[in-house]
Amino acid sequence: MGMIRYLIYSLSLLLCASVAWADCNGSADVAVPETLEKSISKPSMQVATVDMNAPKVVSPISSEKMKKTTKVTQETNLEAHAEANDCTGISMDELVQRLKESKAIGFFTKLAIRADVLDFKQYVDDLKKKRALDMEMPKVHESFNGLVLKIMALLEEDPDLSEKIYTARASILKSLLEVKS
Amino acid sequence: MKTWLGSGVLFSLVLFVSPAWAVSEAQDIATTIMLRGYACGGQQVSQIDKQADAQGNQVIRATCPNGQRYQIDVSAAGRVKVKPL
Repeated sequence: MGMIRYLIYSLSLLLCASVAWADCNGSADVAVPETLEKSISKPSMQVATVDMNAPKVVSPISSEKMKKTTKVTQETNLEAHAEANDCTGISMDELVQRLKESKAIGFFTKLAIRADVLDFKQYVDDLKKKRALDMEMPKVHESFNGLVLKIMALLEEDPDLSEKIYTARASILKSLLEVKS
Repeated sequence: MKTWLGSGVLFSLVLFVSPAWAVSEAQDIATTIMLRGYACGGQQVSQIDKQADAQGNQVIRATCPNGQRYQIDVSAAGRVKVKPL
């Protein structure tokens, strides 16, 4: 009888855990496009239709205005996307701690990853000093995505942590870009 | 009742037994070599020699399955460099 009670307790625990996990991960994948659709698609779609359908009618002043509007909406998109990706339920410190504790990768591999992250930070700092960060942003993103992919490939044996890093990638990049030299 | 008990025990095992995977040192060194862009030809190295100096710098020499021998320098600051021998 006690065993059955234990089994029911285990089942409810599993159910709670899966609901909490789905809230953050599963629904994040689904919810991101929805929230983005709500906050972004309407203004950007309007701009797009004006640009596509009536390019000759639009005056240079209004097209400049539209470019500004598009830029603002794109920035809002990025912020919204970063915020939407923030649904990780895990802080940076916790993430670093979990990487340190993970048994999926060995000590020397962790050191190598750490060196790669430090190199990336150095690269960002150099760009900041040259005031070329905005210009080189696509390269920064490319380099960061490569780093994340590398870490995810190494964390093949720890899919939970790998997923958390993937979900939190926007906030990780944000925090790396905000680090003062 | 027996089936219930059996499935309960199995379920608890699945739930509460943590994964026992851990990377061996040979695998760790092989991954580090590959992470630095060198071919190793396998998941594990052999013939591992380790040396450490008073400053805390470490030098590891290991042979990959493809026969290539590498030296891994780990500085006291935690910087990792790999060079083929």
